[in-house]
Amino acid sequence: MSEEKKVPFLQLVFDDFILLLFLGVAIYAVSYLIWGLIEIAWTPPIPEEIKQALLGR
Amino acid sequence: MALLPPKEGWFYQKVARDEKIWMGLAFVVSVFLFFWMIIWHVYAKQNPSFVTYKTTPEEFYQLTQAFIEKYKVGEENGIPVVKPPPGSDVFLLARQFRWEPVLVLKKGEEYRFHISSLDVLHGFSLQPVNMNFMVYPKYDYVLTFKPTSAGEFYIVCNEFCGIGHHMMIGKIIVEE
Repeated sequence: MSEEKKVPFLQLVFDDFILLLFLGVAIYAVSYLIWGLIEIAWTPPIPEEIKQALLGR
Repeated sequence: MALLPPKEGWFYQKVARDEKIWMGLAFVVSVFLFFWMIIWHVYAKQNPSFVTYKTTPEEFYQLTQAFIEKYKVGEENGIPVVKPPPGSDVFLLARQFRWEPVLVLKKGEEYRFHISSLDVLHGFSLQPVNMNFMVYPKYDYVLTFKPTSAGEFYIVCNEFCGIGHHMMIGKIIVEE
């Protein structure tokens, strides 16, 4: 038997189709979740001039 | 064949020329589509403004009431009819199970719609032109509208919001 070669990390990833399936879902799920949280955090309140025009304060 | 596991040692094999060409073409197409998406968004005029503000149901209710008081011209089935001046901010409130107020707009003039919900998730669906937007509580969704034809248009709720969902019909009147 030939001596065991070390399998490169990327080959391990590409050869495991279950892992690829998981990554294909998980990467997008996490990125969209983070994107959504950033959007929510950066949403500004209604500008004061719009409120003042109606409420006259 | 892609369905079978690749031969041992595939990782160290050089990528063939035709495969490189295919990868290059796929890359060019994706880059083109990416920029086309941006160009389409800017020039096609088919997308909403993407302006959203944070609010509270109390604040939005207060603003809508002030808007109604300021521009009220009548009443229809217990719902106030409002005629705002062209170019102004228009407030439209969704609640179980009505849209208020009824809006009277002028054809060819631009208005900034502020739409929000007082309670649950609703759907703004303008008929018969069929424009659809989601209406969330706690968020003021701003849309720029320019009515291009006169007549009566109806707003139906297109997110199931409860037992009276089917009765939730609002109205926009566009005058010449």
